[in-house]
Amino acid sequence: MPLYTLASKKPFPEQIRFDIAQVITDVHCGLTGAPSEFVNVVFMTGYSMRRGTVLGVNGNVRMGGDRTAGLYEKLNEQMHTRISEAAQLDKSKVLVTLIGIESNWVVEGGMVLPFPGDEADWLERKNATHAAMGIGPVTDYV
Amino acid sequence: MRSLIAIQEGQISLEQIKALEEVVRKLYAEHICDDKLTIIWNVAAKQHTITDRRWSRSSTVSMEVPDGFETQRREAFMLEVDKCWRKITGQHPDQVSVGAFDQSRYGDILKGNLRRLSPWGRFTYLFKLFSRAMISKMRHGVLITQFNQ
Repeated sequence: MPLYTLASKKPFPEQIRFDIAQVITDVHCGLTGAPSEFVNVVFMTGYSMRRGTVLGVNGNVRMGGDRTAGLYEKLNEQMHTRISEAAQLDKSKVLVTLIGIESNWVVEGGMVLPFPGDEADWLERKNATHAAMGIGPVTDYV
Repeated sequence: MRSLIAIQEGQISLEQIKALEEVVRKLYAEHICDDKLTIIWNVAAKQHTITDRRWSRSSTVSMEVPDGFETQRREAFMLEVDKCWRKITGQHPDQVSVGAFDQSRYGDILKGNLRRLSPWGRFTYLFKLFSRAMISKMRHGVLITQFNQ
């Protein structure tokens, strides 16, 4: 969490998919302070989009803690601009929707996710727990 | 009640999927409720999922629970699913996400997913999802479909 799903009719080239995901990670982490390891991006293709839309972006993001309504507005606005640029699309062709989720409704890294703003402590506890269990960092990326 | 599980193509075998589904159903009945749980497996094509800036090997398990479900019981359930999941798949803890969402919010998320599609897109999406899932159910005993149509 966050989980951003991106739906389009035609698949974007691999490099553009990769670039869009980097932009989403940059914007999300830059504005919210969340660590990049939290950010998941999924591309779904083959879907007929609503009129005028080429790319539909839905983001499920943690709510509460130090996050304000203004921050979500900014997040939506910057996501919209930066994703449009990375996808090489006019802004009017991109639809961004964010849905707030309670942080304690999700477990990642073997632990219940922290409230927004408490990430540093959480990461420290998680790394200590993993180290005590002999678990190193993720290595089997594709 | 509904559960959508996203996994990566070629990462988890059919036998593992069946074992995981059995565990999820058992834990759901023990921790949440006896309601029928429909589990749909969504397989992402290679190089279509990114976590922490890299092509991902992550699995995302999401389920709906009754609105206002008690926090302690919800957390115990998710932690148990996470632990059992990793025991079967051998995945790193950072590669597994388990969510138990209030039913009304889960509905909002699913509606949001459909809202970006055209009416025809919604029809074909649901048609493909259910036809693929039903074929999979007949062949393999579990409902498996794909993110990429």
